[in-house]
Amino acid sequence: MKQKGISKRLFNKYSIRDRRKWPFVYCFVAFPVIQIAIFYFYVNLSSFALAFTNSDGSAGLGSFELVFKSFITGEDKLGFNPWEMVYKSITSWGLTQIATLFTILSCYVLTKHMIGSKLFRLIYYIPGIVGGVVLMSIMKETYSHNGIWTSLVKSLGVNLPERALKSGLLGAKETAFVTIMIQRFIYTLAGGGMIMAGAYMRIPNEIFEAAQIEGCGFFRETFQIALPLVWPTFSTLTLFSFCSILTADYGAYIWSNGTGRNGLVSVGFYLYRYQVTITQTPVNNEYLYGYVSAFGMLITAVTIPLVLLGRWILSKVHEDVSY
Amino acid sequence: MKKFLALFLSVFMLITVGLTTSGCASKDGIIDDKNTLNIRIRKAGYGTTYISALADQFEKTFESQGYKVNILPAQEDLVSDKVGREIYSGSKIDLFFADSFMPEFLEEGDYGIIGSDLTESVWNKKAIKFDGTEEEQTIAEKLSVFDTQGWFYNSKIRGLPYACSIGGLAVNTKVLEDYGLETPRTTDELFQCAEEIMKHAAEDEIYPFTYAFQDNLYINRVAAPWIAQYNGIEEFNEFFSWSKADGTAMGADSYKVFGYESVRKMLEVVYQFYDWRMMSFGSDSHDVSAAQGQIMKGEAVFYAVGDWMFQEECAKYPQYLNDVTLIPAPMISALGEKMFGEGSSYGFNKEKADDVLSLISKYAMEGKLAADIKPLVDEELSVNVALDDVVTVCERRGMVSNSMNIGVIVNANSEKQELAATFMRFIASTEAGTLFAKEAKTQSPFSFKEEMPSTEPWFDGVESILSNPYYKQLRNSQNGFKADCGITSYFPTLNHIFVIDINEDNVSKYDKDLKIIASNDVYKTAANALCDKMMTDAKAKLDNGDWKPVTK
Amino acid sequence: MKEINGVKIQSKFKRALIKWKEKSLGVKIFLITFFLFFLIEAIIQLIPFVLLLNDSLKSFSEYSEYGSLKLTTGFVWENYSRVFSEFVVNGDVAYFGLLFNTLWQAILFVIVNLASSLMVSYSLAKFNFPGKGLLYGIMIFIQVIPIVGVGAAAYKLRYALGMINNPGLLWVCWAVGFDYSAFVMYGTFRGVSDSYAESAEIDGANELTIFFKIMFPQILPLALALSVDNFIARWNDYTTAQIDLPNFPTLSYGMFLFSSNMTTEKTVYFASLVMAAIPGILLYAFFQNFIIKNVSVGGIKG
Repeated sequence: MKQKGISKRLFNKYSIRDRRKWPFVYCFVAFPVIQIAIFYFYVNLSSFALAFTNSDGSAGLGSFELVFKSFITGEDKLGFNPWEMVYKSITSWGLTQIATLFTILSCYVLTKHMIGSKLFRLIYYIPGIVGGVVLMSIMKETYSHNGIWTSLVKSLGVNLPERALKSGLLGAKETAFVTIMIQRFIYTLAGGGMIMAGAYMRIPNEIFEAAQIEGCGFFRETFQIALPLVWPTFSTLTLFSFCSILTADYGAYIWSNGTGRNGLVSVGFYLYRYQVTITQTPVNNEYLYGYVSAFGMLITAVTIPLVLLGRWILSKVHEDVSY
Repeated sequence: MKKFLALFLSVFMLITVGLTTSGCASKDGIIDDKNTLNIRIRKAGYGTTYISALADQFEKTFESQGYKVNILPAQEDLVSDKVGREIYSGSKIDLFFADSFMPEFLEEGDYGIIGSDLTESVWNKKAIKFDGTEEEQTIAEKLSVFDTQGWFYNSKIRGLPYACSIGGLAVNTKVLEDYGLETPRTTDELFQCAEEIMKHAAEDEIYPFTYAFQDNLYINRVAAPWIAQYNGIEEFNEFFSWSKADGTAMGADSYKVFGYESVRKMLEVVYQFYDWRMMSFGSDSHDVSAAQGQIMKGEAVFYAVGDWMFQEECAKYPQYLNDVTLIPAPMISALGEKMFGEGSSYGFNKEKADDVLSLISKYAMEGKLAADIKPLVDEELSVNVALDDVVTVCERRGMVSNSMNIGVIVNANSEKQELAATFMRFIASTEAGTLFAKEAKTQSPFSFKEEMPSTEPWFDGVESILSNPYYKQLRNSQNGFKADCGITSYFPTLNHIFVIDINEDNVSKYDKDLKIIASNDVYKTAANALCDKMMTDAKAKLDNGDWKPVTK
Repeated sequence: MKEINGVKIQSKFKRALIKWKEKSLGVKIFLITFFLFFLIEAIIQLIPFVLLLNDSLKSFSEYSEYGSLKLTTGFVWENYSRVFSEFVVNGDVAYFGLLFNTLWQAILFVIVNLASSLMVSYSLAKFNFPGKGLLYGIMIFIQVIPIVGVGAAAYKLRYALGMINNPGLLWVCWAVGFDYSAFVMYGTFRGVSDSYAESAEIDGANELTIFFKIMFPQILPLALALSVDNFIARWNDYTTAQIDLPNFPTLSYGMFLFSSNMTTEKTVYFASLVMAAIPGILLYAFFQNFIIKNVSVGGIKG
């Protein structure tokens, strides 16, 4: 009786109109759901299960213990400091978000009011087109001891540490991470907004024309019409980025060629470094899989509440606008 | 919109239906014939002509049996993981010449058994010569000069080496000549050289050392010999395997290896070797290619590397081929101090002790035996060194890091197991080894002391290292050494030890104007501090169960 | 001034000039500042590529002696012709073959991925059904949790399903519906008005018609923007070609192999980087126009 009551309540929660559409909806999502069930959940089951194993392979929470221990002592089996990984991931995430915030304005100006907008957009998209590995190969030359950016920084009178003078901006602990962060920030400022630019291009010009006819000024048009209209896209973009707040990888692995030299580390680097170590050492190091998996789970456990918090904050800032 | 959708759908159909006949699919290339072996090799510095040369010779030798070899296009990324996937997915390739395989991976890796058991079919059999007859020794006996135990897993061997490369220091002899310096034979001589070069560094921008920190590689090419030279190979093996010579595990005492005198002395030298003010431009951030290029061009003088460096760079720097050579890791001067110095029965001062060490080393590298070296040294230096001591130095001089890993395997699913085994025995012959070495400009473990592949000074250096009658291979990596103790924590990348700690300590005897402001004691202090730290950490990890000591 | 049907039309430039003159000083300063910002950004981002181009035209000895900052003296076009001869994968697939493989793999990926993402994002945004929260949670979960160490298991599954070297089946792996694209489209779908859809429903249109004729056009520009993003990401992905489609190598896979070959001369490698980048840049430039055309079609009037 009780069970019937619950399902009846569930049933009544939905309107007749909603319920009429269920056959269509379930057919519509069937393929993606089956796809993800097989190619994500089924495949990754073993990875999830490994998190709940001890060092000797038996079931237990030993891997989680190792993870907590590494955070408490500040050092893990490979000599890395997990706090440093997390801190650097958060820093790169934060800087990217600040730059993305700026793109709300810059993309609007670029798409609606800027001469040469098409050419600018093409140039800003080139780094994205060529990809991380190729971009890294190109940029490394510019950061070498006689590269253009190092020479520019020197000519600006910046006192570079000795090792940077010797081996370039990526050759010293003091400058390597900062350099990559500045590069990321600069590149995101203008170019990070392809999605934002797309959102702005979706707004029909008639809306702005109507506003202008009503006597709306430039800045009012910008901040009271354009920005609210792209808010759903921006908030989704930002919310999505919350998902990687603790795991953000700014390419640390690529930039340091997998060594984590000069402080070029991140959680993405950390997890991949472990994977590489696992495949290179004898199979009796299987417990490392458990550690890596448990680490990933812990990160997830902390990230999910952050995502929900972010969702709440974003919903308070601006209501969704439709037109 | 409709047109757009229609266009996309047409493209979609075209692609999914027409792909198998597309000219942009890579051809299989397999020849499915019971007398034809299909071989895939890794495209690396060895080039690809060696396999054609071996294949041609094999076909000639077995012409009457009609054996053929089909060589498939080489691949740059033919590493163990990829080979595992290919074999798992039913590849008809019979033999893979990859870089190296972990023995365990060939049997119990992600893809199950991928390499055939070659213990009886190849390892315990004799190699086959070009005329089709068998050699005298079995392949196992032939390779006994090397330490091959690490290739066995569950008492089986599932692959063989096809190349080996000795390690040492690449040296730009032209710079040494320009500065009127001699090629060093001991570490004291090396650092005296370095000091002289440093006097010109600010002006000429030529530095004694270069290193590829981006790749964090090859320190073990010198560090391993330096450990072994000081107290012998038993202690070296103990350090890496955490077991005594008789096979007894060190158990809870394993942490003590980090405090061994040989390790301390090695670290002292390594700290000085990696004094970052003595390194060339870019060392902290460039890759192997850049570092090797600097040696070729004379922007740096010494670089820890293996003998493959020459074949990788010779095509790019044809104008510098005669400017470089390879020398073995210089004899660690601490050995000379210990054996001949003030605390010893000889009581020589530091310089004389080093001179004795250097001279014995010189003659050993010329291929002389201890009995012949002793009178020469006694006469030249007016000493009377005991023959046993000369033998000890010669043996320690003979210890060279040699990277030799199992790299060629037979596809466990191949239907031509016997034919493949025949080919393996063929390439294990001395003649085949010589042919391989010549074509690939490197060493073959089956003929590594034979004729050099080429005549440049580089190969004079290689020959000199190998012609030491006391040659002894030091296992290059700790694969096969026990590593279930988490030893990778002090070996951040697989083969390469605590370089990050050393380089980040910023230990230098120079100031920023490249003036000497401290003695070599700074390196000793740093080395001892690091050793003490490693001992403490290791003990803690063993006590709290983080590391499991070796039990078998 | 042009004349169309007896009506005099001013040139685009003149219209822009008039509009500029009408703006206030504050707005002018604002726009000029932004123009300078965009210009500086463009220069910063172009410099490395100009240097790359410069380096690709040097001889190896010139590059190794003088580095990047010196202008090339020789214009060694041979570096580019060497790319055609040396940049060959598996011995038989050269530059244009790699380009073709890259193109069709990227297009196929974009189509199936977009389709799958649309299905999920549209359903989550516009319908109420049991399990909606769960699906949304899955979308978040997938983005959040880092997956490690499943390479071999995933490969074995794909092999067992006959997907290796078989694009006819492998596309199923690419049709991920719970990814970033779905996330963004979900957000945008939520902002799209339901009024037309409701009127169409009253008029008797079925759900598919509503989706294809009313909802999808609303999101088309965004979908295209995301497609371009996915296309570019796929363009640069080499792991698929390496692991799942080794018989169909792509440009980025070729680049990866080329860069790991220690005997490759750096200047020839730079030339290969330029040649790998150009098709992508040209394609993007083409797509840019395409997007703009479609933007003028969408929207609700009145």
